[in-house]
Amino acid sequence: MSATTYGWLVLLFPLLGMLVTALGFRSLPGRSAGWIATAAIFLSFLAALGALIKIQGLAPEHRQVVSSLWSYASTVGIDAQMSILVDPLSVFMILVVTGVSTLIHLYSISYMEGDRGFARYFSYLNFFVFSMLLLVLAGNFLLLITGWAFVGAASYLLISFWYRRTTATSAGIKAFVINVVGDVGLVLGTYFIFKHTHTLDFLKTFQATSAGAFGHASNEGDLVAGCILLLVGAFAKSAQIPLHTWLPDAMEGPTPVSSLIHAATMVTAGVYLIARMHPLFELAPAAQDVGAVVGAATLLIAGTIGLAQTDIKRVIAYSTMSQIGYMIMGVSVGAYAAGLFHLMTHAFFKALLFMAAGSIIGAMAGEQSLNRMGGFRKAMPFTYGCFIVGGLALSGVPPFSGFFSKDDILLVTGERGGWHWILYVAGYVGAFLTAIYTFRMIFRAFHGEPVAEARELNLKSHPPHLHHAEVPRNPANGEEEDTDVGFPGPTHAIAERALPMRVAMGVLALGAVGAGLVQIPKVDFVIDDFLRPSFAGSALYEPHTKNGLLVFGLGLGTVLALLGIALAHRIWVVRPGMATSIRERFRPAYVLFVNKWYFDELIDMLVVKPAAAAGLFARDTFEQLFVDETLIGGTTGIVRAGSAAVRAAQSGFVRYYAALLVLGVTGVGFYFLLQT
Amino acid sequence: MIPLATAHLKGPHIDFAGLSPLIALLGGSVLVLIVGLLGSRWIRAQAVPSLSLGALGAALGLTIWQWNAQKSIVSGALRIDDLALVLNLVLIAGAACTVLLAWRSLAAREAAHGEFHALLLSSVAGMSLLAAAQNTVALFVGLELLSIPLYVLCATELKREHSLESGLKYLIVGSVGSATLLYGLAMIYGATGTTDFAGIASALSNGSLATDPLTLTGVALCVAGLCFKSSIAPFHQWTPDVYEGAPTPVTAFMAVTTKVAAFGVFLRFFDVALIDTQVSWGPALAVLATITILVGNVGALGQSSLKRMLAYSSVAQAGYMLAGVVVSTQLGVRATVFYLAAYLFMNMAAFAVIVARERQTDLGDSIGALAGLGRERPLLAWPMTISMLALAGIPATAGFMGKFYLIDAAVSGGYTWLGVAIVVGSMISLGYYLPVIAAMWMREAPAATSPNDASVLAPTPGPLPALAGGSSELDEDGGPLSGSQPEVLVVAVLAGAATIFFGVIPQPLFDLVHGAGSGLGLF
Amino acid sequence: MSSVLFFLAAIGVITGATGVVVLRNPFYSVLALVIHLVSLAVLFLLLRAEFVAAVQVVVYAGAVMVLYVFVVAYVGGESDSIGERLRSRGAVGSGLRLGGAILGGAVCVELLIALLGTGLEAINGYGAGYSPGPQAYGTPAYIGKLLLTRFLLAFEVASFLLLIAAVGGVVLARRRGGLEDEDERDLLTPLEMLRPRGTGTMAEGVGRRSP
Repeated sequence: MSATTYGWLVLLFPLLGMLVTALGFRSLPGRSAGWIATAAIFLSFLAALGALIKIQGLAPEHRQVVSSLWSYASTVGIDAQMSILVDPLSVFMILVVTGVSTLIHLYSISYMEGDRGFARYFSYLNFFVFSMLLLVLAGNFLLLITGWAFVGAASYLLISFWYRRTTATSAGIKAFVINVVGDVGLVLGTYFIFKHTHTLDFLKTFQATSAGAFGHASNEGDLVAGCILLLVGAFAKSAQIPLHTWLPDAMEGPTPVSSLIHAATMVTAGVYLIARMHPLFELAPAAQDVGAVVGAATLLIAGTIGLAQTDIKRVIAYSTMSQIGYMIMGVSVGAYAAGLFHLMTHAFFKALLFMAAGSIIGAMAGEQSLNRMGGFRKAMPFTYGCFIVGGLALSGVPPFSGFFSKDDILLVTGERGGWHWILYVAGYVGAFLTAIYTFRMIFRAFHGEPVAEARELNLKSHPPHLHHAEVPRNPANGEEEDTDVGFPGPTHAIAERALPMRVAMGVLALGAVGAGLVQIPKVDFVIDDFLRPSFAGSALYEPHTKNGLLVFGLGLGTVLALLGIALAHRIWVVRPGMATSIRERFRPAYVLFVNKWYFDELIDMLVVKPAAAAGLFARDTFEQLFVDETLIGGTTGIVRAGSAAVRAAQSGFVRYYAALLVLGVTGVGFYFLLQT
Repeated sequence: MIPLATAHLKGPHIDFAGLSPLIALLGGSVLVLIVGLLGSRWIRAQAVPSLSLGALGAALGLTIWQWNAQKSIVSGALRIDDLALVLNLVLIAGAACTVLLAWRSLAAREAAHGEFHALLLSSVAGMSLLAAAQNTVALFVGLELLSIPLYVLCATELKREHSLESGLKYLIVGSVGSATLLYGLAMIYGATGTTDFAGIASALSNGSLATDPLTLTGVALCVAGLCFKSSIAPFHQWTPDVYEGAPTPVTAFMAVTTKVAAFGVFLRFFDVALIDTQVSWGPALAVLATITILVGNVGALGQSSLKRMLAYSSVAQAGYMLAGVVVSTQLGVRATVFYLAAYLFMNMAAFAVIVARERQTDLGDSIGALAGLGRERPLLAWPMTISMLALAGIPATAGFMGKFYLIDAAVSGGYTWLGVAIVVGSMISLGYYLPVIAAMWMREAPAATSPNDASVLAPTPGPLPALAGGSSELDEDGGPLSGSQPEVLVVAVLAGAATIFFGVIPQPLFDLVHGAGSGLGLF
Repeated sequence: MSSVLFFLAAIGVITGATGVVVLRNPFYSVLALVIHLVSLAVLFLLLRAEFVAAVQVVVYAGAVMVLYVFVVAYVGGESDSIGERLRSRGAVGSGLRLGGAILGGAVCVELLIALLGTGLEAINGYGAGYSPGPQAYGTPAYIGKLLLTRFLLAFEVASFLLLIAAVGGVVLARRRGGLEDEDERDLLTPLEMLRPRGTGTMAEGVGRRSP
């Protein structure tokens, strides 16, 4: 089998899994839907490995393989092919996506065990992975847009999975709406590019671009416009400022879904898009700069917000935003391999952190607030270990994986010189913040006085009573719930008691520890070498040169991470009262952070409120008077009158038909006589 | 004395290979007529339809055998080219579906199986002839061979008043249409002095003949006559009555194949013979197409009879397809042929479901017969859903590709407003396609859906079908038919699947129709 | 001479055609049609289309019309029920009739414009000269030759068309199943639907069927 055959198989398995779990939800016994879905993704992972082996067997200059299953419509000026592009970049992506997704599926089997929507959940999950794989394997803009939109739809379905929770449904709507903004950007951007290149195919687009479809000067107007519109799509998917507000709200979905969105699928799409479109972006440096600045701003802002959040999942969510900011910044300054390397390591440790958080939330019976947690270190040693590993990797402590990938990005950024030094500094400030908020979260959840739930776990009572409140409540707003379909199920899983969860977390922990070793500066360049064929035409894809900066960066990263951890330890463990006093002293900053820099309010004021006001005005005056009464009423009136007229003419009597027929003949004849 | 004995006559060369599909159809027609006379009931009811299918299969094979032929046969009467062959395929597919739908139908039993299928096959032969005709005599004879069996077929549910009425109406209106067309053809012959399409074209191309009143009146009458056959407004009035009254398999046959043949003629006659008068008839047909789209879509709103609704919808679809004729470009020809093929699948799926439901319930073809179908019989509900979505032009169905193609043809042919009319028509059409889907998936099934219950429960839903003579108690076979009907299900599922397939992978169909446009000498 | 004949025949054609439509009694209508067809045959003769003229007389005026007369006599020629029903529609019916007349007149005018306004010279002249002989245009031999050469296909298909039309006629004329009684089968022809019961058919006349 060729590499592309494996590529199609990668797509096929999740699709089959989705169909089987969706159609067989009645007949599938017990938890088999979960195992089927997991197996589907695992098979997909194996196929991705096959694609990897095959693609490595080709000569480096032939590692970009396009396979078209059929052409959808190549007749009317559009070459819409059902084609995938298998190259090192897409293989890298499918490996990460399928690998991490397999583990998340495995974890979900235990985590979602008591939920009434078990089969539905796995069907959505498979659909989500399928959409993401379609997105990264797409060989042309059309499939990319399809996958892009599917991912948005799947995220909507999964975020509002507990669809009877009002907070979940509104979060789903928010995610969907913002994603549609991105979709529009992507489609418009594609249009700008298609207008010049006249092809939808990626490789042909790149060829046409390098052949001068946009002219040979850089920063040609339409290209920059197209690239910036593509960036809008990327920002919306990857939750970059100012289109990031859906991401924290998306925590309303089940925790494995958060893990999937943050680690493997969805948010990395923007990073992939910029990397995939690098031949276009390199000809539009202005768009690249926009991407880099927004990435840097996001990583800083998200870091500061993470300092003040109390919801454990939201802290991790903001850390994702921040880390995606690094990646976006990386691929925008030309650190493609470094950005994708960070994407991979981040997938491991972020999935791990979410899973560990899910385990704690299980122990807390759905409660997510850090204020109510504490002292779980003894009660949940495995979860604690995983959290520590993930936290160290996230903070960038050597030799954990995040250390190498983050410093790789910052190194390349620094090497670009010039004003990129600002980005470089921002990156290290962000790293320091990351270490602080990560360990703030760990110390608050696991250290200190054990809370009631932790004490109960320590008692080792069998079976443990993990369901506390008599009436389950929505942790976000305290509304009463039941445990039927549309709400979380009655049971709560913790890693210590569920083998699939432990396996998934264990594998990810290994990845979080060891994944950085594939690319150690001066030692090995696995990622660099592997991805090189995809970036063959790139001027920025260069090996590192400045040794001094490398050593400085590695040292600075280590010091900042350790400093941050030490600071967190001092504030939240050694002197528990210190947090309050700091908060009081920097009250304005704290208020700013805890309110998430007022982005929600800003968007609300700038976009939602005016839109709502305009909508209200439109509804009350424009729509009611003009649209409803004149347009709609008029149109339907015309259609109704027409319908009545047609019926009246349709009397059923042949003689009327004959009369109309003669009328028709007269009319047609008259017209033709006028033509003489 | 006239020395007849010495009269020396050399017959024309007959290309039997090119003529073979037609011979297969006509021969099959005679064969089933004879076999239908055999005594055994089993032979009549089973062997005759099988033989019809065999004849259609033979015609199909011979059509494919003739693929890529480019020739005029039998002294220029017929043109065998890609257009004729593609249309032949569509016709044969439509006829085969009809044979399957009529397998257990009341109509075939009442009219006697042999006769029913003989009429059907000869009608198909007439259509095939029409699609290939390239002189006006062959055109007219083909038209009559198409029409006359159809008049009878419409009336084959002999005991149902509506069926007879439908046949009679069709006969009267159709004859007027034929006469109009004949008058037009005669005038064109009078003006150009030839019956061959090529001859007419060359006569019209030089001098002022293209704007002569005689020619143009002839063209006008031809337009009117052909508009009758393809039910273009305002000549569409017979359509709803005839479609509703005719036996459903016959309606399906008429809806699909008559359109194929009529548009085949439209394409060949107008785009070859009358191409030099295109400046005159182009705008006229465009206006007629717009009127048709509006009248068809508006008329279909609120119809409770599915067949009547589909009749109006077929009027609207004819308007869409006319757009491809109007522009008289290769793209237009291709778009029209593509749409005809798509139209076959969409309509056959819908009609198959109606046939099935007519036999399963007492509600006939009313929309109520579909209520709750989604839950009860998903294999019927899905094809119907797909068909309705496709007819409305929802993406990922063949109907969408077809409309897209037609709009593209209209716009690139300089008739942007016609493209807009198609879009507006499609929007209105949702108003009657979606209620069908809603009825299937969102309404509860009526209490008495199975025929066994219906006879027990009193009162029976709806009035008894009106019978032209005889009493309903005597008509054992007049009521709903119980038992399985796999062939109807097969038609529904296959047609529905094809609708989706060619919506997702339209390229094979694009390739198929690609040649159809090139044989006519258009841009 | 030929001009006189033309006008006589033309008057016959138009009167006959008008009579078919205007006369209420179907029997008279059929007779008017005969007049129309015979006059038409004269016109054909004037155009030197002997064969068509002969066919017109033999087939239409002869065979087909005789058939019509028999049918009208059989199903009740005296009845003017169709006209009655039309008239009973009152205003609508008369409006339709008026509209029909206007529209028919309009079509007529259009056709006249087409035929008189054409630039074709042949229509204004006397056409081709008369040349007797077997190979001349319009003779049976010539037509026969055309049918066997140029229009062979149309000829053959037309023969098949007649066959299938006959089959169709048989299908409609016969009722299958449901009615066992041989006698009743005769009564219930498809024409039944045009005619309410008790309208004076021969069947009623001989007491087979009571109104």
